[in-house]
Amino acid sequence: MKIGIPQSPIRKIPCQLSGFRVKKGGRNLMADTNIFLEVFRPQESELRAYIGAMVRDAHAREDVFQEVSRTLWEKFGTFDATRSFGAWARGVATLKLLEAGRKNARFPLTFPPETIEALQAAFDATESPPGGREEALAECLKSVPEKGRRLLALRYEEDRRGPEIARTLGLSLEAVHKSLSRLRQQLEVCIRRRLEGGPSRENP
Amino acid sequence: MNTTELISKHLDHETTPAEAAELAALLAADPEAAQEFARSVRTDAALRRALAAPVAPVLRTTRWRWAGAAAAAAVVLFSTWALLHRPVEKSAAPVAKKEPVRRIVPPRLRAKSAAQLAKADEGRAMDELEFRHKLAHFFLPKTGTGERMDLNAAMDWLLAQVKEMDHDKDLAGLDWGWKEGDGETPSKTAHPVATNLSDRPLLSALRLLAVQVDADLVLEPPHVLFKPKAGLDQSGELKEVTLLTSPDFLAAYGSSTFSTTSNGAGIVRFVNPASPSGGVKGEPAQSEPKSLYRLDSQGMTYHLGVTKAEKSPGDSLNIKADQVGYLSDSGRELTGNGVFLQPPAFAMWDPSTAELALHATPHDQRVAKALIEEQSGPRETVHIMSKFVSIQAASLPPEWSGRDGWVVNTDEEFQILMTTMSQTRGLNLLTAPSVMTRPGQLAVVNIGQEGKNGIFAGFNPERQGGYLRLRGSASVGGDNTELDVSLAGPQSAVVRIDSGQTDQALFVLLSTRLLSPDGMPVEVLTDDAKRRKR
Repeated sequence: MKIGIPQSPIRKIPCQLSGFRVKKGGRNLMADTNIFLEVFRPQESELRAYIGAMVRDAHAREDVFQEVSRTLWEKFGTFDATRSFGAWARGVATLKLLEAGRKNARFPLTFPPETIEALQAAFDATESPPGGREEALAECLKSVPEKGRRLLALRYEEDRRGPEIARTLGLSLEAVHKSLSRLRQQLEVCIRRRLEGGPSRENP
Repeated sequence: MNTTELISKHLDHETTPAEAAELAALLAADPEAAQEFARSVRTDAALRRALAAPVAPVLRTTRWRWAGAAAAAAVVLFSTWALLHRPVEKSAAPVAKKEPVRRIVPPRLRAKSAAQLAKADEGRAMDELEFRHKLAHFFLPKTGTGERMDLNAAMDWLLAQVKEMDHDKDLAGLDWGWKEGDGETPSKTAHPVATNLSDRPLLSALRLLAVQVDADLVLEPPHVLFKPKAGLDQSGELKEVTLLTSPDFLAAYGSSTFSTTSNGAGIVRFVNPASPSGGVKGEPAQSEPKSLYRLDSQGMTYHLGVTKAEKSPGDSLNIKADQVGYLSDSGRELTGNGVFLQPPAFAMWDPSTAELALHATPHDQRVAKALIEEQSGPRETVHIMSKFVSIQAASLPPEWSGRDGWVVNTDEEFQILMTTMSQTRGLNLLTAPSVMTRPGQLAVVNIGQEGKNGIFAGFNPERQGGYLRLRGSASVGGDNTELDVSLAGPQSAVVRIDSGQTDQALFVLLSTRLLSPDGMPVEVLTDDAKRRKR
């Protein structure tokens, strides 16, 4: 039974995965992959946030994230497990961002290189262990007053911009900015306290 | 405004340019401000994750789609089981029905619809959405002739095509006009236009026409209106810009590294277009190693990005060029879509970096950018469907023995193959995951547990000529195989991914679908297939 064409364009070369180290001594690639996923997944949203802060355009942001993820996967063999994976990932992301900015002057970077480098250091310095942040935020949100919740809902649930929120709530634009700023800051303090072990005494 | 408020405004994308510059300087100079920024970004992202309304996940393209792959595996496993166990007709008639076209509402559209549904007074906006959806789903083989004409003539041509092909009367009454805008409505021949897009939605052609007449496209069903924009740079001054395109922007024209010698015999002639004196027969500007040269040779015109030029004995000139753009082709492609490059304006596309170097007026640059956006490959989605099967080596069908892989040309052949498989003793369908990605982006499938039966595969699809090429690797229990499969149209592929060292042979069956940004299938056809289709 003829089920295919003889001149197949398929090429098959047994080899290692491109750029992915298989260590001598029989270490299993699958094991490496699973380890990678274990450390990558908890850091994924953090990495997205970091890249998101540096790139204005959503498409470009997603492209950088994909590129950084691929590089992390490929270079995982060189990762020093005694270091923070998040810091390593941000380091790779910073290099990719700066490279993109160098190659294409129109690349929508939010900040100049020196600011990006300063921010990388700041993100590293303020890193907390992955996990727990979402739970802490959920707890902190419970104590946000009704007015604040409405403001957060308009901003995040409905993705409205400042002027629209101001019109809806009958506030000035400046008041909206100040309120959002205060809410975020209070939530941040509350999250930090919870992550550091103690219950939040602050009412955001 | 204090630092916290400035950061907050930044997070809401509402800083003025002056505030943005102030923030950048502040963050670079003050580590405490930078740390506050970092914490705020984290809180903002967490709030977004916690509160943002979910969007339809269908087209959310992500490389790390393990969970999706597992869920899809269950669905496809069942459908494959059903397929394998259904009675097979003995006639030679096609066994399989074509898979129905899946209409997927793009997430952005759905999210917008949901928001608008909440506002009862915005019923007209829903109509506009529906209209936009129809325009985005109406594909024309050609959206124009590529000829230079005024907008009236171009729209007449376009609407005539639509009328002819709109069998379902989806776009009945479609008409066009001008809408009062900030800018002045152009006269009939103010901006010549052209579109020459193939296999693109009507909306894409309309957007491209709008940018050519310096207007926004406004949809007021059943009318499309061009609303002139003001404040655009209309100078005729030629400026240089490098635009990043999709890898297949002009892929059909190819490229090569070029090295040649001018011996003054009149076969090749080098002219430096940057030099008003007409440049340079045998004398390129050594101080400008990256300057662009035009090469006229045997009736073809090329642009060369020359990196090395030196005189050799005998007064000949050795040119080593690492960028070669085919001006006549890329120029034709651009001109056919409204970028009318008049010398000394030029375009050069480098396939190795997918960069388009343009020396053109601001207007032409705007049109080129719009063209790149409309033809941008990454906005398409690739749906890769796979089936992983294991067969006892001793039970391998003769056609499968000793083969690394082969292409299955039609759906019918694929069904016969599936039937053969179902009758093969000792065959196990391990799993059948599918994964979504975009051209140029890696899609990874991670199946099963660590160890002997663990399977891990990565595919990097790319449009190449008439094929969708899948390159990647598969690992079975740590034993790796590099894959390189090119598929066109309805083709599928069977690839052996194990080492052949065990008593179980492992194969992966691959098929792909290319989807437009609106979720519509896009046919990927070789030139032969296109001819046959015509």
